[in-house]
Amino acid sequence: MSTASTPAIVFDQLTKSYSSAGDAPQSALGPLTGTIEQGSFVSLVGPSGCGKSTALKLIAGLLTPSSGNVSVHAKNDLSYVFQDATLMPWASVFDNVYLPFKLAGVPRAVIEEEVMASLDRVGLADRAQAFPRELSGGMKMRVSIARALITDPKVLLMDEPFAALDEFTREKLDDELLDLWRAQKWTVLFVTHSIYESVYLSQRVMVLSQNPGQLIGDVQVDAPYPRGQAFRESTVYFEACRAVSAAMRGGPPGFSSANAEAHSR
Amino acid sequence: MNGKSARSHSLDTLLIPLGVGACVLGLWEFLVVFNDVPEFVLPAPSRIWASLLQDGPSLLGSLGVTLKITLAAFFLAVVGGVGLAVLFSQSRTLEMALFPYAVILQVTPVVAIAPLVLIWVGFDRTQLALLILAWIIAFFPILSNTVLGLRSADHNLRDLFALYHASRWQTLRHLLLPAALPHILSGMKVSGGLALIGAIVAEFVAGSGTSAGLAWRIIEAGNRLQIPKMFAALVLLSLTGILIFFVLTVLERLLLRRWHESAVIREV
Repeated sequence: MSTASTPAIVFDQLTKSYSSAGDAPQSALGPLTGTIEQGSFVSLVGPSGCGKSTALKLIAGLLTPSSGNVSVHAKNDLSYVFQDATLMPWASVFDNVYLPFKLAGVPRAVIEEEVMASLDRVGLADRAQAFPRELSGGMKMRVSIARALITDPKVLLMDEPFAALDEFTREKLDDELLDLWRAQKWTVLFVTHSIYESVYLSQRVMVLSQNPGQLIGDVQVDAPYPRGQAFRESTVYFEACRAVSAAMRGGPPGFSSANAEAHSR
Repeated sequence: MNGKSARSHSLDTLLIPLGVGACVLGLWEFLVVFNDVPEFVLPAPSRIWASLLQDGPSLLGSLGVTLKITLAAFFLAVVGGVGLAVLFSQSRTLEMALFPYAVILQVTPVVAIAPLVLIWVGFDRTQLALLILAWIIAFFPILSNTVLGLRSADHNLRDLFALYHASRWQTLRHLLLPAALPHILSGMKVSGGLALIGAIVAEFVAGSGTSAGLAWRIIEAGNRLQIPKMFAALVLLSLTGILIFFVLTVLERLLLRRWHESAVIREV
């Protein structure tokens, strides 16, 4: 990363622990320290229970840190995509995408074109009047992304958004997401448990350990976009996958190759 | 071919129960006539039908009175049940404070409190007593179902609403209530029948000579050993109960058909 870039998200000794009645507080995350650059595509990888989702919720302000803090540049221009499409089943596709503006008190007529444009971006303009249950899993996820993008966010937090989809649909949506990101250049923090997906998508993969989640690896993926099938078969891809995988197993710190480097903190 | 089998299936669901009903009525008629059963023990279906035609108009008048109490109690149960559940959803303290008393009201047999209610509202206002008693019975299913429904909203959607700075009212109006709707409607289906039962039972206990509902006509006919008339009144009651259930089922279909699994008619 160049020194000129500005931070979008800064973690400073961030921790979160949960306490259930009677038990000692369970540490779920941290301490986590680090910086995510503006406009970068960063993945957060780790086994389940490593606090990945907790980290996203702390950034979004849905949870409060137990200690330390996380600061977000442009806190109000932040969108969140959940693992499930998280659509309102009683509302049409249009109304689901319109929701952020509806809650902000913007009349429907004023924003109608933008809603349709957002749906068009994810290829669902012709399904605006459909209801979520009439859509496939991939289509629902696209609606969810359209809803996240309609507020024109600076930061996009994605919590295993494609984990419930089949491999084919997931790779298709990965590519669509990358196309959108390259056009808009938001900062993306993408949580996943798939090493391959994280490497394919990101410029940088942060690896978290289990219980509590601590940064145990930080892998740069230096490959240009657009990335296609050729990238999946390249040495850079392969080495980066190996580096992430080694970090997850607690492998030798500093494991690196010419194009992919990992260092533990 | 699929369409045909679906259609014949829906025809079956109508024809089979009707066939069973016809068989039972036929057997009933036959047994009564064959064994020469006295009318005041068990009247034949044909005799009940004749009584229905003869006493129909006057019974319908009484049914009207009962129906008015039923619908008023049901309406107030929906308003009160949903309203209280919404208050509970906004204040956990209020829920903790009041919910146990709603349960107590529910588990106390209405027959046992009917005389008390009658005394409190005054013997000259029987209708009001009946309304209160029917309401007590009808109210709880709506309350408990709505409380459950308001809690059933998806947690990620709640987070999403928080993220977009939704106000309490917006969250209630656009998230909690729509999510609770299927539960509210199923509570209404239970409660609609209970309101009718409540109106009848309450009149049995609290009714007097001034009372004009269907339950009182049943008591009257019983006292005079007009058993066919009793049966005719029972038939009217059952039909009313079925009608209430049917109307609420149609309402449920209409409101949920586009989005809720329970109301989706699947192509088999």
